[in-house]
Amino acid sequence: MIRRTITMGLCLFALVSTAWVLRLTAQQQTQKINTTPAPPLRVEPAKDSDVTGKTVAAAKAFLATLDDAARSKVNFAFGTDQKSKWSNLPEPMYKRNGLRWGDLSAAQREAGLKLLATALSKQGLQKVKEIMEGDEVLKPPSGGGPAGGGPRFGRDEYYLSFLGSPSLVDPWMIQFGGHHLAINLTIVGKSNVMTPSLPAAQPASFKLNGETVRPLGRENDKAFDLINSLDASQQKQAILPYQVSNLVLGPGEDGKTIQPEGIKASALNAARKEKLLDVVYQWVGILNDTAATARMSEIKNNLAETWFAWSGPTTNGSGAYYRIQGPTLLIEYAPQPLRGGGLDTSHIHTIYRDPTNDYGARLVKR
Amino acid sequence: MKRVLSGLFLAWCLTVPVRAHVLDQYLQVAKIGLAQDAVRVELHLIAGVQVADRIFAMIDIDGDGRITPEEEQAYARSVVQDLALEVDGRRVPIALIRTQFPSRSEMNEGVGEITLDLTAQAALGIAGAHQVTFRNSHLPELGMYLANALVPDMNDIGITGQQRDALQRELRISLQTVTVNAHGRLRWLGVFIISLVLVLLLLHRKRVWQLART
Repeated sequence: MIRRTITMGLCLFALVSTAWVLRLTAQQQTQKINTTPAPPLRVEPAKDSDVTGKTVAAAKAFLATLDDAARSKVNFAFGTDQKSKWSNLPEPMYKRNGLRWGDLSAAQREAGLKLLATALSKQGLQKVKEIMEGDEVLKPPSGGGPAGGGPRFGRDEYYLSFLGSPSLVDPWMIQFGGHHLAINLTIVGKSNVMTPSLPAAQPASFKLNGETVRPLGRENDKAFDLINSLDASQQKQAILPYQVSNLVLGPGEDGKTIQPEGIKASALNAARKEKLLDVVYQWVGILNDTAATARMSEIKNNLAETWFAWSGPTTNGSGAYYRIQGPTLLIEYAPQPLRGGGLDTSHIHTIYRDPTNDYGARLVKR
Repeated sequence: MKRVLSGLFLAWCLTVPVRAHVLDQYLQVAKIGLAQDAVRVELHLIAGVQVADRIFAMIDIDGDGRITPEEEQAYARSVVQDLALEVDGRRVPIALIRTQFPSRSEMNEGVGEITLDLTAQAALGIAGAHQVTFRNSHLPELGMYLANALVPDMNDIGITGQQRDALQRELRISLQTVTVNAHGRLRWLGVFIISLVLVLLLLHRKRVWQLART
C-alpha cells in the first residue's frame, strides 16, 4: 500500500512538474512574436496553357500594339524601386510612371483590358472598372482637370506599367493604378501574387446607367454582417475602444508589421470563421481564380492565428474601420475622416498586404 | 479664360464635401519600435489642405515664404517637446535622429508628409515585464492621431498588450522580455525535474526489488 502510494506520488509529481514546465514554455512562446523571415517558396515554371501562360500571352499582345516610344514608357527593370511607386492619390498629386490609359488608342485599351481580364477574376475586373467609373463621377463639370494644376480625375487618369518582361519562368510585374486604385501583380512561374494592393472608392455609391454601383459594397456589408454575428463577449474583444481614422499600413509602409489586436479567429465558431474568410475573399478574389484559390488555402491554414479588429459603430451605414491580420495577411478598411470629425462612408480606402510575400518577396529571393 | 476655368474648378471643389484625404485636421501617425536598448518612434505628420497654411506659418518662423533647414530643425524640436515617452514609469529624453520635410506645393495640396525619426534609450533587454508609454500633445486642437506598436524584431521581446485613449494620443505598450539565458534555464529546469523523478523512481524500484529478494 505504502509502495503504491509512493510510486503514484512520484508519477503525479513528474506529471505536474512536466505540465508546469510545458506551461511556462508555452507562455513564453505566446509572448514571442515570430519575426524570422519566412523561407523562400518553390517556384514552379508555368506552361502556355495555365493562367500565367495566358497572362504572358495577353501582356505580349498588349506590348505588340505599342510603338518604341510607348514601349520605353511602359517597361521598367524588375527589382527597381518602381515597384513601390503607387498611391491612393490622384494625378498629379502623385506622379505615376507608365502609360496613361487616356493616351492609348482604342485597340491598345482593348488589349490592355484583355490583359486585366486574364490576370484578374471576373469580379476583380468588375471592381477595377467600377473604381475607375467612380473617379469619372469626381470629374469637374468642365471635364478633365484644372488648367493650372490640381487633381485630375476620370477613367483616363490610370497608368499601366510592366517591371521585367512577361515570362513563364522569370519574375515580372504588372502595375495598374491611379486615384483610389493600385494593383501590383507579381508573377513568378505559376505563382501570382497581388500584394500589396489598394482598392478604394469615392464615391462609394453612385448611379451608372440607372444602376446603383458600390465598388466596395460587399467589403462593407459582409464585415458588418460578421461583427453583428459575434456574441457580446466576442464583440467586446473585437471592438477597439479608440477611433481609427485612416489606414495604418497604407502606401509607403512596405515591410512593416504592427502588433495585432482584436479577437483571434480561433475563438470563433465555424460559421463565423466562414464569414471572416468571406470578407477576406473580397480582396483575394480580385485575382484570377487559380491564384485566389491557392491564396485562400494559405489564409485558411493560418486562420487560428488571424485577428479581426473593429473600430466604430456596428450599424451598417455608419462609418467603421476594420482590420484583418494574420501571419501572411493584412487587410484594412478605412472610411476617411469627415470635415469636422467622424468617418465618411462615401470615401473609403483599403489595403491588402502579405507581410511575408509583398511583391512576391518569398518567390523572388534565392 | 484660364483663370475663370481655375476659379470654376476651385468653386466646384468646395461644393464636393470629401475632396481631399485629410482636410481640416493634422494627421499624426506614430509607429513605435522596441529594441533591447531603445525605443524608436517613427512619426509622420500630414497637414490637411485647410490647415496646411497654418502649419507652414508655424514652420516658417521669419515668414519669408521659404523653409530653411534651421526652421525645419526648430519645428522638429518643438514637436519633440510636445511628445512624452515613459519607460517603466520614468520619463526618458527623446533624441531626434532624422527629419524629412515636404515641398511647399505638397503641403498646399494637403499631401505633404513631415517625417521625424526619434529614439530614446531604454533598458528593455532586462528580463521581465516592462511598460512603454507614448504621449503626443502636439496641436491637439487640429490633431488626428494613430499610434501603433510594431512587432519587435527581437524574438526575446513580446508585446502582451496595448492600451490607448479614445483619440490615440496616448499609447501604453506592455511587454515581456525573456532573455536567451532564461529560455535556457527553463529548459534545464525541465530536464532536471524529469531526471530527478526518474532517479527517484529507479531508486524506489531498486528498493522494492531488494525487499522482494529478502
